[in-house]
Amino acid sequence: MAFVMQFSFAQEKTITGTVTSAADGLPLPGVNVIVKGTSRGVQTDFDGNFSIRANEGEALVFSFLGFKDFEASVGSSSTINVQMQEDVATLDEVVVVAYGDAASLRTSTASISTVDAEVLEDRANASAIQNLQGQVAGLNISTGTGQPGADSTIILRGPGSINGNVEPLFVVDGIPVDEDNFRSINPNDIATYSVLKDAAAANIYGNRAANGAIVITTKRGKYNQALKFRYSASYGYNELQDQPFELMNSREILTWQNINGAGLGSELTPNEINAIANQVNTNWADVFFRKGTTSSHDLSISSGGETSNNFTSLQYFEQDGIFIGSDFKRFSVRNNFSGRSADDKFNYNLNLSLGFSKTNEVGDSSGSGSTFFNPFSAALQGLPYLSPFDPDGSITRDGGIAPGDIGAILGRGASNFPYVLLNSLSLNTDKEEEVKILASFNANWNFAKNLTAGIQLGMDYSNEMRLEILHPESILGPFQDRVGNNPATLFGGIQEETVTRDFRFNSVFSLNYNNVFADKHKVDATAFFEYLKGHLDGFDYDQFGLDPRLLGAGSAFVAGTTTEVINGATVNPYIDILNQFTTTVGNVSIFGQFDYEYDGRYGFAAGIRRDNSFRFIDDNKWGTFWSVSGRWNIDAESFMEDSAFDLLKLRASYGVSGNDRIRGGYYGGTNETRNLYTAGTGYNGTVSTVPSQVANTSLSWEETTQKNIGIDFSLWNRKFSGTLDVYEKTTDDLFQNNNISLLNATGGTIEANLGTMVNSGVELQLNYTIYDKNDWRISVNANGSYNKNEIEALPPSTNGLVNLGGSTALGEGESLGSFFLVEYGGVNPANGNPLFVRPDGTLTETLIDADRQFSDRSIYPVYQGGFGSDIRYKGFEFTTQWSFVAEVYRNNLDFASLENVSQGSVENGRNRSVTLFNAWQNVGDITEVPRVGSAFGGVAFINQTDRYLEDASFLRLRNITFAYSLPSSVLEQLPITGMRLYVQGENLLTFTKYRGWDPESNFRTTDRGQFPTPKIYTFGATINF
Amino acid sequence: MKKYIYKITFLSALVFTFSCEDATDIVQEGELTEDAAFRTVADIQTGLLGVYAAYDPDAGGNGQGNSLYGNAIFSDNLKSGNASNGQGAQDYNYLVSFTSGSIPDNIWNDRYTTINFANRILDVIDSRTFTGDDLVEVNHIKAQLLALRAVCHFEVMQYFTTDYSNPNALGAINIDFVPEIDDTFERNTVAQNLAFIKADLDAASGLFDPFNATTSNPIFINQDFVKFLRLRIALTEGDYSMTNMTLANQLLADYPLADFGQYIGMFLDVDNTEVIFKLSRVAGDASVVRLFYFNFVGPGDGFLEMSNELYNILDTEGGARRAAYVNNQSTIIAPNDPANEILINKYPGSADGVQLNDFKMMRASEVQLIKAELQARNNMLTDAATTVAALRTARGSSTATPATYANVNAALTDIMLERRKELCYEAHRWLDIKRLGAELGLGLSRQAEDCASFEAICDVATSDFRFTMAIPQDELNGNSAISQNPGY
Repeated sequence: MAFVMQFSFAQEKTITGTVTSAADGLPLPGVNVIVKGTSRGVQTDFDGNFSIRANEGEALVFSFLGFKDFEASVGSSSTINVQMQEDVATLDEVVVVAYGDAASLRTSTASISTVDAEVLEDRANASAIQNLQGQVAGLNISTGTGQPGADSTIILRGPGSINGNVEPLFVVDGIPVDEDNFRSINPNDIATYSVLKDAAAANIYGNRAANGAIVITTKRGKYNQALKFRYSASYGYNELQDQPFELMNSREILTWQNINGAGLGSELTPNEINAIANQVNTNWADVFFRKGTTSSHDLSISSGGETSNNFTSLQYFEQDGIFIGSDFKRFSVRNNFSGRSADDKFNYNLNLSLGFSKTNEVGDSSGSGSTFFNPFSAALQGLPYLSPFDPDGSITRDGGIAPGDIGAILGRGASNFPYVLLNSLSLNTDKEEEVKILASFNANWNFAKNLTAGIQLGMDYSNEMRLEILHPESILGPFQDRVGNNPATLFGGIQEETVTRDFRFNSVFSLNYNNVFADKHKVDATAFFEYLKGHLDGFDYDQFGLDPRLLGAGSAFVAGTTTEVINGATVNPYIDILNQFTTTVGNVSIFGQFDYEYDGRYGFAAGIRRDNSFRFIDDNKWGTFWSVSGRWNIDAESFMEDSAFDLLKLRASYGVSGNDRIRGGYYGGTNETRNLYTAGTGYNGTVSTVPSQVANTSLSWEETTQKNIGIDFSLWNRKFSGTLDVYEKTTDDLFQNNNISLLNATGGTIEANLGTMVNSGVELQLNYTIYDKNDWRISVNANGSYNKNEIEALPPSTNGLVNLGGSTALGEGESLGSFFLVEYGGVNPANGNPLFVRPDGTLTETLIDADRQFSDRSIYPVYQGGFGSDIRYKGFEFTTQWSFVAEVYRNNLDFASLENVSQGSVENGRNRSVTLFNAWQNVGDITEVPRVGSAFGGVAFINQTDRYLEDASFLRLRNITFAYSLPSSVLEQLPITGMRLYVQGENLLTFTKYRGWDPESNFRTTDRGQFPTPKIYTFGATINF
Repeated sequence: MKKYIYKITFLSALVFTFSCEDATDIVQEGELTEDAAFRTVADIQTGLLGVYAAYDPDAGGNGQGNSLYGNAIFSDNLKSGNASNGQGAQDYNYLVSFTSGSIPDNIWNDRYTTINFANRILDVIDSRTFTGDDLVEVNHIKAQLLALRAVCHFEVMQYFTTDYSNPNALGAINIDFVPEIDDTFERNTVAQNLAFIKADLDAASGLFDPFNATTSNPIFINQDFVKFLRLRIALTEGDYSMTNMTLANQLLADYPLADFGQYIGMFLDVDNTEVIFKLSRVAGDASVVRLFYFNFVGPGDGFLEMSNELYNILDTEGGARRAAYVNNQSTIIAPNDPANEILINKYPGSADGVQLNDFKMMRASEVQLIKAELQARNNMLTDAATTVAALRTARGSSTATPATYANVNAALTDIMLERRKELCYEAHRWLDIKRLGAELGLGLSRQAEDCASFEAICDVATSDFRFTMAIPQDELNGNSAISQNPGY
């Protein structure tokens, strides 16, 4: 049977030619050239040339992604040169679907938004994810800190869980990765971001994608591509955004203290106050904040041959935080390799990325009320009459305070705290170093007709070392010991180090069948098996007592066995604390996906899966989830033939997915179905055995059911295009604390599945090209979403209200994160006391929990989106990108503290807002500020009243870029193929009513001494050669 | 076709090289089940040590706390301190909270957690068979567990019942088993509580091992703890029988009143002359001092200070109590001056560690005063005066001549004053007002300068509903069967 002969009766000859692009005349490599009706085919080479054998009378079909197919008959000539036309209707409309497969927007049944990373390239953010803000309707990316490289909180279509995970799944080149860690990934390596929103899109990721998924692909080389280099460098600086506070100056605060009979000012005459005010007037924000720099260098190399291609990139990035002591550095390397067999039946990819980042942090204690550990509060509230300078004129590092001098630290309401924090910032260490490796391998083998087997292996490895040293010779150094913060011990200081290793592995095996029947029935079915495992290991120690001469090395550690005699007691002040942890998680899933298309007009897709979770037992262990979806390509109908629509597609989907991340965290809640004990610190310094966990054996999957109807459209050769989606996402069996009796010794709650929450909304995304002629191209884009969140049912034991005494509460019929506060009623003109409005409308001076009410104000925005413009003329580009959120509220404790007039607080060591001069003074005064010495301070107002609950909506100019690319006429004389110069700014303008440092936050309820996000200006150049 | 079969076999083999169990049945390292936790009597002893550790009446800090703190902040022995940022202001002003972290919540939660832990160990003990030395040791453990369970039930009853003298009033929930998570409970009556508590004490009495090393160590529970607790219970339920007088005399015979030096030494944890039971606090434990100070006992750091009223009483008296309770770095500008900084020194630190002190929960002086009260109740007014005077003499007071009590109430009023002085900051004062004050018509009545330090109310009558603590919100949320106290 091995004897195979080919007979050729017609005259076969070799046809050669060149394929070029009609638009610019440049050769097109990699074009498929196939003899129609046969399997004979070749691809064009680097220079667009091809050579193929064909018979006269046969036809050659030229096809290339983004171009219209071209057909040429073979005649007598043996040369065929082809100019291919761009297919405007399909260009740029590739969507990346689950498991990194590309599909055309035309045939997708799902709600997916794909962002081409080109528009985000060279942004000055350390984190790739921050750049996505305002780009995708329904995707809310919120960054709560200005620490470079810090994590953002990402919510897609509203928060889908109360206590469980709310963030979407992130997948990079097929590897599910840690959604909270992007600092070690080079944003410039990214090719596309796809946001998988509805059940049809995300269901294939099952239990991990109940909140949708964000699928990221990185750049690759192309087959048959010449070696190319791309180098880009940028440099810039960043600074504090405009701040809204009007603080008292030295004269004002001293006078205010004088009037109110406390503090330094109360002991001074007006002349003495004048004398001080003329000499010192410190704006502590100027001392703590700075103008930082940003710089980056990127080099990428790509190349490709007939059966392999490669992409390699290197990056160095560094950015200072705008707060002294904070900075970020990253070095990253990536190599993406692809290979295929000559017949293209087998292909494989290997993607390797290695990043090393180093972060110096100051944001640790941001938000805390700890006077001596939150530097942001000092920057805002430091007293202006304290000088930041040493006698020699340099910025002081200690304000003249000796280490351990308790009198100087605590005196006058601890007013020296800015010095303590300056001292800590200059001496202490707080850094994180991380190595992150992302590796993935996938291969597909079309081993039989219509059958393809696939394998995908992925690994996300991060190793983090976190080091904190509280310097023994700092002002607070002597207080650090194990005997009650006693400065009398010989040694002080703490060194704390945490080492964690997070390793996540996943593998997917798939078998795909696809076929076309009768030219009209296209069938594609795939079965998958997925295995996933995660391991988190680590340890940490706290060493008390450091020898300052040896600081930084382990030899500085004073032995725990050291004894000292303090107040007659022989004690061990330096006993260290050790801790080790190890956690394993895993998942196994079997699932299938089926796609059917009829005649290019109708499509139907369905997915079903069985997911296993080790977090549950018995019948709850396996969950079954599914989705169905369909589309109707209306523009393909005959009655639409002459319409202006290039694309008009109606689609609908419905599906259920599960969430097993009970505690939100990837490694959280691993054994809550079991009763457990642990060894604890026992009585009289012994080891004890105590219950550590009471089991809830009925724990099960949190289920999200999502309905989605959408329209994708494009008009007038893509001049105007857009997407409209309407959805309703219902989460049932919410992971919530069910209240149980305190007699169970669990503190009154246990994790359970109870209640229902609904997110429903509308999303709209539009692109419009206003003008595209005569070298001009002007386009605008906009997206916006409305999301209404409502808790429909809480555990019955709660009677529809879970109020843990904070400023927000859970209430049936309310949105998640709704504030539950007593309405502030102004100031009683009779006595200057604050008034509160009771639910019946009457005013009272008594603040009680029973008067709390919901008022439709939540920490999560109802509206969010962005819009931008893109103007190009010849080589010039001018782009803007704005983002906005609206109907979002936050408690402004920073401002409340600046208006603190509570009893005894005048000398609390902190500056005030000038608004306090409006405080009530005499009977009959009508004012918003209660009398100095009234009962409630800032924290009481924040926790219980809406006095400082502010609208944190904002509109922000997220990015503005002006760029120029050198024209080819200039390039011809240079040894390079392209050069682009740009200047850009991030966050340059913000419009908001919020009276705080930064209206943006990570959906927190309260702002107190937080690290604001910066303005960043950079300029840079990109060179291709 | 054969070719495909080979290929498919090969591909399938690839898939099944992965085993799934390690991803589907994951048990974390260090998961400890009940069976594995209590293998031996030594393990059970560690369980007991966990129960002791859970019992934490002196817990708290920075404006929060348990019963020790609650008795201080709700009564008249404190004023706002120099370092105050408002710690305790709401509680001091009787703006009573019963949500998580509030005093009622802390007391309820701590006592029932202790009870839950104790019941677990008791279950373990009851489910096994012990013999010989093991049996003796396990019984000794069991006795301590029962006594702890009794003291917790008793304390819950004290704080949360409306009326001890009414056997049908609601008190604590009696619980001698480990509940299921969906169980709900109504409270038992005072009579049921007392019966339950006494049954536990009776059972405990028969189980102590007098030869166990812990018996002679006042940081562990022994027979004398049980006797002492019986006396406290007797006063609460109004059982003034001579049996109790005998108990008091037995205890006083074994634990004489401390002299001046012993007394000072006791608060430095170096003398146990009159200590019948104390909760040991060692390195690693929270320090009581944090209830009044941020960091240390000294000027500028106390957010709560001794009230002028108490200071005036102690200062007039002089002697051991003045010396032991008032820190010598205090600043007294003039009597009742608003700028007085009166630093509490009852927990000044000890040899166990800087700022660490044991909580002396049961002392002979309290027995002395219980004895005086029993005498007064039995109309032995001269004896009562002598008993009180003996304590005053021991404390080095200048007024050690026995007083002459005109009637029982006069005696009780004097005993209540003596209890205030002797037992301040030891979790008694608010309960004394609730129990004795109610009877004598003496409500909370703070000196004007003291309540002014917080701009708080000065007077609260004992008939006020707030003299019965609220069932905490957390319990109401998780226990639909329970009744709240009136007024809340």
